[in-house]
Amino acid sequence: MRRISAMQGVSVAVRLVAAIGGGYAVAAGLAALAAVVLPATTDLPRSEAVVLASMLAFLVYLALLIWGFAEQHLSRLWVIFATAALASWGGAWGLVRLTAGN
Amino acid sequence: MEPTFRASMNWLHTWAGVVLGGLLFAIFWMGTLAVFDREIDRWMMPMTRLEMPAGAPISIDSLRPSHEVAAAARSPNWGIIFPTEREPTLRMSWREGSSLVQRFIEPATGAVLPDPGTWAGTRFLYPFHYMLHIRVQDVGIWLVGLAAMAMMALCVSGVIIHRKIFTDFFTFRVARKPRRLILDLHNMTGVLGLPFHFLISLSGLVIFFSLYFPSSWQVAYNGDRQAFFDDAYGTHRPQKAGEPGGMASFDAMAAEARGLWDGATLRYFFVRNPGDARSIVQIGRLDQGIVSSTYDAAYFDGPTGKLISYRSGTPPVMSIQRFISGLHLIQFRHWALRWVYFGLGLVGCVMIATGYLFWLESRRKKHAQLGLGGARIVEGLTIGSVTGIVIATLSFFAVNRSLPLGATFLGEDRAALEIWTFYLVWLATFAHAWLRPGRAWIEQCWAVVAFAVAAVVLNWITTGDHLARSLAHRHLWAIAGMDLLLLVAAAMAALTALKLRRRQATRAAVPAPLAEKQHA
Amino acid sequence: MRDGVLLLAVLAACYLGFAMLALSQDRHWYHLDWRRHCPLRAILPLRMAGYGLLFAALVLALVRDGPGFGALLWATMISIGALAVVCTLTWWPSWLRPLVRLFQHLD
Repeated sequence: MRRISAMQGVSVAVRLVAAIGGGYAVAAGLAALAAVVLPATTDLPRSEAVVLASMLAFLVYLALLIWGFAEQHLSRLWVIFATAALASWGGAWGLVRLTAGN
Repeated sequence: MEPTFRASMNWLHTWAGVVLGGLLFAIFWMGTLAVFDREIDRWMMPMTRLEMPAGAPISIDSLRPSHEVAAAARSPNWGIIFPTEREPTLRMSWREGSSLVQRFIEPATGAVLPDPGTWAGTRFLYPFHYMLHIRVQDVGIWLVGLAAMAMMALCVSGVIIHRKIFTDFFTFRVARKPRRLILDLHNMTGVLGLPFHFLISLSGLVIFFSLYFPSSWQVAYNGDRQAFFDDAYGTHRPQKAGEPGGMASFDAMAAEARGLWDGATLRYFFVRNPGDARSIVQIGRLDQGIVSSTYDAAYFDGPTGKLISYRSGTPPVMSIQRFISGLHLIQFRHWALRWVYFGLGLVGCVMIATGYLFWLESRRKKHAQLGLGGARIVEGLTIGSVTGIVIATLSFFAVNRSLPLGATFLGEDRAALEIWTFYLVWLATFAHAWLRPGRAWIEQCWAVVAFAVAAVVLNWITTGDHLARSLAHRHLWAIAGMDLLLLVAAAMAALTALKLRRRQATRAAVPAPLAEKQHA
Repeated sequence: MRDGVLLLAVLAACYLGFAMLALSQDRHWYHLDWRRHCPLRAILPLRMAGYGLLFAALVLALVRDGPGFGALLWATMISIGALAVVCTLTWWPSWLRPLVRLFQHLD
């Protein structure tokens, strides 16, 4: 086993955080968004939407994990995950504020 | 991250496997045992080896005295789970302070059975599977969740990196070198069992969807978890009045519940806040004829016995969640499927163990060439994680049949002593593996043989339910099954030990153990 | 009785289906047929029969246990059947010789 340099070690650690932590954040954000959007746009009841969003979140997370370890450029990974997380969480909270205001 | 997609997936598969292999094996091993957790209960709690009563079920009202005890102890709940074919006793429980009080009741007479003094399959092995008995901040259940996600990622990456997945579909070269054999075995168990491995991991996660992905209900229900549960499961928010109140007839409520579901069998009878003026009785339906875990329940007001609400039938998305949960929890009545799950669980254990071993063998050569010492620690960890946990489990069974009822030592009760034995023996296997490189695999195989045979013999001595007897009585078939599987495990471990020794004898240089992990 | 027979039928269909699929691969046929290669005209029939039997296993499972249990039984039995075929090919390959003889004549 070749000796790993400090740089490589940091790179691996950053990737782990991005893929595992970042991937989870994005999947959770998308689940939250879906749980709010679906009842608002379809006649799916709220509890049903929550269950559907949560179940699909596992598969979404899996896909994000795979991509997280396949993506060549760490910077691209971080940018995409950060944007997706902000957009989904932001969208979810925003919609909640909007629908609560009604 | 690596130059090609395949190389990245190779990296992911290797490192996820190495880092989480031990944990994955433990989860899969305990899960496989949990398939027969109630049968293990019968074996470890001989006083519960009863026949299902033929006559009418006993009156729940006759169990009121213990309800009063629970109420006096201000327990948040008091409940009984009705007997089934796999668990022919009534299981009654409530909380006293922070500890759980559990009593087993003979269904025919209502007599309280002596305290079994063990956590057995349903309270030790099964919860180990989904939460590792690490309750601090739910760390255990989150670790298992992480392992399940990793297992799915390992399945996907495994398929991607397997170059000749279709040409090698049926290939298993036994006569080749150990590394080739281990890899072939890993590929075989991995590919052929792929639907099971993937679905069992996904379904396990789906059971705990509200825990693992709380974001959806947190945002949709503004953080009110109980409101989500009320909506989704039709549960009732338990409320305390703080004043004492009476209780209407339990049997009347049970009869009404049965009537709601056209005479269906009942699963449980729970009282929330027993003795309180606003206590609620929750009665659950049992359906062992469907895959789905049904959470149908009826809610009654405690003091008056009036029906508050009941849930019958589930909306579409929730039905899917129930089906997926049901295909993991397997509380249904289907013996063929139960045995198939057990077999495929063992196949999963073999897959994880051989994956770990293949990596170990591949590294061993390189390490020896480079003169690095880490290989012994890793090998020790591998052995402890694989044969170690098997030996620990078998010692758990053996000590259960050795300790007298009511045994205590240094302030620990009998159940705790059994669990101490499990962990101490497991620790010892790690130490043994580290101290005896080269011999550890063979010696631990023989330890499996010793403990497995000891368990069978001890069962015979302490209960008299030897194989001839247990095979002859239908209600003792669980015991026969356990004894037979223990003997099969012993036989396979013995064969493995002999094969390993033969391989070692024909090898001049460093011994290279092969692994054929098949244990019950 | 019916349940027992149907269960055996599901297992048999899975086993034979995968056995035929295995034989359609030259390396396994070669190993069984005294060093002769799989006749080219036998490959398609073997594959179709193999997949056909796996489908038949699904039907039998659904008949035995209904949609829920049936699907589950099939999804798990195919793994068992495939594993059994690999074990047969490894340790008792002569058991599959009758199948070889059956499809040999298509050359």
